[in-house]
Amino acid sequence: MSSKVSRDTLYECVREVLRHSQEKKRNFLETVEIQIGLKNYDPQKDKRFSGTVKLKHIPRPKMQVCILGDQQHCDEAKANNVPFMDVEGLKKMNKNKKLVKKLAKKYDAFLASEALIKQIPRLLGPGLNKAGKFPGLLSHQEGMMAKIDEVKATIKFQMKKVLCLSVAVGHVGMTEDELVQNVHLAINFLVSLLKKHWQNVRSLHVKSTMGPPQRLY
Amino acid sequence: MNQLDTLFSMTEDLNTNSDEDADIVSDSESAQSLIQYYVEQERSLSLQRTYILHMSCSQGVADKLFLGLSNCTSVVYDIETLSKVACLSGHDRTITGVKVGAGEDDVVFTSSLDGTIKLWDLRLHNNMVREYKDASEGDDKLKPISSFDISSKKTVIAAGTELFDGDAFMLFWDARSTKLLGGYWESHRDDITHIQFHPSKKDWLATGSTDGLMNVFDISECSEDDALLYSMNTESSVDKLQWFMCLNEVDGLSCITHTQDLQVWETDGVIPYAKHMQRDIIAKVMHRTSSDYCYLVDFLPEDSDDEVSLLAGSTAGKGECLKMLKVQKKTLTPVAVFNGNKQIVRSCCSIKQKNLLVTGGESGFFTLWKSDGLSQNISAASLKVKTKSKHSSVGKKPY
Repeated sequence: MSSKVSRDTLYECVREVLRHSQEKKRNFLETVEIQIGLKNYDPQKDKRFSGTVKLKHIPRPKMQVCILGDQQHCDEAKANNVPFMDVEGLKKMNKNKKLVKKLAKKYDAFLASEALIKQIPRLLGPGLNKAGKFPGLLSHQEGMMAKIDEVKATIKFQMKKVLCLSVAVGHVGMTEDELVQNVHLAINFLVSLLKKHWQNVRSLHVKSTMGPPQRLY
Repeated sequence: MNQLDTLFSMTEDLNTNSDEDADIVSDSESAQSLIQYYVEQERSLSLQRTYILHMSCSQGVADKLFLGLSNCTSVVYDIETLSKVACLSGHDRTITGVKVGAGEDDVVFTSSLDGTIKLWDLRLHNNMVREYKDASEGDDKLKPISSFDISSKKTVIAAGTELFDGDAFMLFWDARSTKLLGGYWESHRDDITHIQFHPSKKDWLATGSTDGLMNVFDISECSEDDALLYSMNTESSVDKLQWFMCLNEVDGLSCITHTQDLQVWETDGVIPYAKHMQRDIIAKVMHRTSSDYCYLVDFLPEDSDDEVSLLAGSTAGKGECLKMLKVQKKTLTPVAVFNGNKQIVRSCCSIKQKNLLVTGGESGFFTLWKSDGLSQNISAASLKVKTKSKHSSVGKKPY
């Protein structure tokens, strides 16, 4: 029987990370990340460890999402102070690679209305693809603000050659409870993807950008 | 605090106790509604833990089975006698794809992270006959090939690569001359995991990547910019994809993600064809108690339009649970169960002429399956009702 992480250990660990960040305050908002070390896993043979997971609390508050919208979505974006662009704005870029690159750099993520999203390759070329910022689909079935929050709360992870993975799950401005919930959710999710679950986990650490890693498991 | 209590009690689920995951439906109940597959034959490769990761069989003659293994070699078996007829070694890194040649059984292509696609002819003492690679930056700087496909007219070979010096490439060769025809490198941002030509539109190609995108290209266009037709954002990481035909002759792409979800998209409108099916939904449809053990193997060729078939299993125990699922009329339903499976399955192949299904996996053996010929006319509705009445709420996560 392999062990799991107890609630007390998790709280203690997060507390330590936050304490360190308070003691030595930095002039930027430190990210909190979990580091998972794997064992009994062969990246040459075993299934790839890659994907996205939606956390409970938004880990990157400063993340900027831009709406590429139809009339309705643009109006809604305007009303909610969310940056947006309509199809005319996209057409004006004239598939200019420099402009598209600039647009990609300006925002962290994009969401596009159904009517627009299929035109993106025609209007902008592969610029957003290359930047890793191709928009997610924004349908009229779901609320725009809810979808934006969903995008902001979703993190990517991918293990390449080394048996270690680092995932950003929050920041030092979050409360203990919020961090604990995010860390717990992320760990549960990642472990559930491993073939042997906890038997594939060698170690777990939590750390803030500049702080020392705190061992969790 | 209450929410946290629930969150923490759920950690119990993550103990590696395989009793946690089981079938909800009894064997007799599943026998009434699901097609039953039984082991026709089974063959073990060797005593070493070699995984069978790729499988191919020609649809014409169909007397040989080609297997791509995790030890950088491929092996060929005679389907009738199940004797090994060839061992193809020459790749020095992981094999990423195996495809039998154009309508013949004696010719096979294999791709590898070593940057080459090799063509082997079994009639020539298993010698490698041709090699496809991109040596434009030198023979020691070959781009690792993660997937490949052959065009329907067998004239072009297309491959996707892993990230190489910051770019993920698509490479094209003339099949006969091995001449590199060109490449794309602007449309994906990370490893390209799957590439597949359209079954009938000879210049159309779909690619999937860990960057989450599925792209569709028309390679008859002059530039990559013009060739990129559609991009679909799965907001996940693409493992495998497959072309299928939606209703009304609209093209569709189905996709398996690395987080064990299933998505089906309509390519023309670049919209989901059915609601995304996450791992917990798949577990329900599979009649399993826990989604933490469910995994998706691969797609099977479609029998008819508006249908997507795939194999799914559970890693619980020794990986015995193996089922076939279908998306029909935009709903995922269980269709068949495989009795006597003994491993986590990683590759599969359908041999229609012999009514066989072959699976290979992590315990180093391959299995030939035959069904008991139960009627295929199982109504999706009746199966859904069964699921609803039987499903328990054990193992549900409160995310």
